[in-house]
Amino acid sequence: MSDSLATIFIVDDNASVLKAMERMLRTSGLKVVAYASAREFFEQYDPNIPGCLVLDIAMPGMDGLELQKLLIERGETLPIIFLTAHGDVSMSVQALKRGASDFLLKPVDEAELLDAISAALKVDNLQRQNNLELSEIRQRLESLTPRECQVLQLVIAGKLNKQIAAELGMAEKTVKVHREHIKQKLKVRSAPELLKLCEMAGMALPCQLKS
Amino acid sequence: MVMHSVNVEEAALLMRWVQLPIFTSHVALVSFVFTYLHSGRLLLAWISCGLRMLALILNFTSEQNLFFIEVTGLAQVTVFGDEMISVPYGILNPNYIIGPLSMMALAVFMLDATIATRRHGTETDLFRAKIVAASIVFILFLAPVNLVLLHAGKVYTLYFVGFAFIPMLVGMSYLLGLDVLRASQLSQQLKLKEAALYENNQRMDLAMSAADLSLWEWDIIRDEMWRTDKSRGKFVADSEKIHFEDFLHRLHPDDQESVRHAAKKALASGSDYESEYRQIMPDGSTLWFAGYGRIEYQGKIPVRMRGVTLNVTRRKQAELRIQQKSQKLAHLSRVMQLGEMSGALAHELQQPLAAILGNARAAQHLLEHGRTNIREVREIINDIITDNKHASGIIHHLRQFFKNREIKHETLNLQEVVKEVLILTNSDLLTHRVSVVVLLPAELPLVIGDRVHIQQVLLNLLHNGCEAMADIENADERRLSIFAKDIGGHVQISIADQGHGIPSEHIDSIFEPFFTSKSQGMGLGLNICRNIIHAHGGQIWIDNNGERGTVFHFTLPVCIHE
Repeated sequence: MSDSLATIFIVDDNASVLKAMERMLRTSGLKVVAYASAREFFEQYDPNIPGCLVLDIAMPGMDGLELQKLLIERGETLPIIFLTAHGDVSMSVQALKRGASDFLLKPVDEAELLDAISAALKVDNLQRQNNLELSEIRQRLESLTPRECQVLQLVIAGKLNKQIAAELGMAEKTVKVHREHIKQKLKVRSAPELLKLCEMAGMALPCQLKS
Repeated sequence: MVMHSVNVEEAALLMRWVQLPIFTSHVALVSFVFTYLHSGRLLLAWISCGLRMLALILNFTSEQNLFFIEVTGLAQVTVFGDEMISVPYGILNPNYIIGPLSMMALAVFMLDATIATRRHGTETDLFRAKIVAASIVFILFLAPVNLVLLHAGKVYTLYFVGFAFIPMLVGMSYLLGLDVLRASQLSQQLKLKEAALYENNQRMDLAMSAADLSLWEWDIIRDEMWRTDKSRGKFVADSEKIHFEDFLHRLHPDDQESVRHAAKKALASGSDYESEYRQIMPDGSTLWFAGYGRIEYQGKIPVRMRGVTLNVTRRKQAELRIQQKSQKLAHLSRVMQLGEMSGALAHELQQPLAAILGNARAAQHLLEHGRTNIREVREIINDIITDNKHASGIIHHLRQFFKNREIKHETLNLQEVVKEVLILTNSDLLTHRVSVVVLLPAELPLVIGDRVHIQQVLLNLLHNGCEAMADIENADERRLSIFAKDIGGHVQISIADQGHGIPSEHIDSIFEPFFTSKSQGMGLGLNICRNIIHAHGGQIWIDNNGERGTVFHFTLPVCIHE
């Protein structure tokens, strides 16, 4: 997940601004893809590509804020840097509240923009790493058998092996074996790690959902 | 006088010379008949005058006179009581008969004239003729009687002849007396009429002077114009006759063509002539005049135009002052409008600036560290220049808008005009999230108008349209359409929005000044739009489609190439 693979997406309806921004960022060593309309970008966007979005707000058809809404609805987490020639306070507050990475005024200072992009890419990177980890954890959790899931739930709840055995109607030894399997499958070495992992996966364990 | 002569010689001489006045009286009578009765046969007149002439000649060629070759004595006769007169007697002149003959010829002539008058004379002539006829009858009676008596020896002379003239003279005097009376009556009437005419003229003069009016006449056939000028500032010679072209050349050069055109139009269509023009006075000042004229025809041919000219300088100056104020108001409104759009305008200018900055930075990157991508640097520089021009264009356009200027009439291509307005309103439309559809046919004719003022109208209508659709949810429905079509002589431009329409109670007042339903603004925008359109000779009106929106229409005159 290095910065060199990250792509900066620019969307602006004004052709000269779009071309100039694209040039400026490209000649600074960044990988840039430019779109003349929000809709075009939305239709072609591939979430697997790391990067960030530099987005003009005031555009005919779908404007910047509408695009942001759509992306959020789709669950996308691409960081957005808003650019605008308007200095509208209410607009900026709205954008930031919805999780925009930054809000800059046009004509934008290059250094400011590059800083914002850098920060956005870091955030994006982090998010991707987290996502990756999360999906791996989910995979591991999904590999547990139903029985193992039940045991895990009670372990997290803080129950002793004896109690677990009694509740699930199995021998204490069986419980211990299950715990060993869980540790192996989930690739953890201690109970605290186990707990942490489960926390990271969120409260809803896949096996809970299943049962 | 003969009757009072003392001796024979005197009597004879007197009798001789008396023929002269008799002759003149004879001729006078003849001419009296001619002039007074308007009739009389020339032949008879000549005969009688000729005979009288002969008598006259004989009178002077004979020894003593026409009547007597020799007067031998004077008899004293008592007439009329105790009046003593001398009546000469002597040897009768054999030629004396010419005298009475000519008298009779005269009588015949006069009778004939009288009869002729009865046939085709006027009332007065008839009356006169009757009097004359009476006197003639008397003469006719008297003359032969006298002759008879003479021959009978009862009288010695023709002194009755003298008496014969009396009724004639009485008749003539009576007629002449009547005429004198009539003449004095007529003279009195004339005096009254003259007084009335004088009064009338005084009134007219006063009216003309008060109204600064002058009357003129143009003889179209002979091309002669003249005028009476009672206006206060007399500056054209009265009764000076000039040709129409001379008149035109005295006018302000800019107005000559329009006056010629107005005259031609009146002559061609038969309508009244109307024009307004300026004249530069000898002292350098400029005065305004309004001319009105009416054509008089002989059958179908115009022969004369009569008219008046008014000095309308004061009115024109007042009009000009109002026009200036109106302009100032339009200017103010324009400036305020731009003020309202300032945010949008700043946005519009920041776009090219942002592009220029980005491009410049990119060029910097490209040129550092010895990288030599000259081709792209060239492209960048071209783009910078283009964007700069775009921004300058907007600023230049704005400056035109901010200026206070009078309406300049030029030929306009509406496609360009609309395009320029859309550049200015681009950001405003974006802010309101409104899209614009422009439907101008390619073959739309050129119109006459002032660019900035027309754009002011468009700006106002577009802005109003945006505001009307402010609360429409669906972005696709927030659409302004601009149409235009040629309606013969004019182009009709329409701006339609999809708003909620104008409340019916406001429709009539929407163009009135100071009418607004907004919380801000003075409500002058539409009023000024109407003033501008009217000043261009066009109309502006609304189609209110209720929930389907409103359409504003206005017309502009088409440019006609002559």
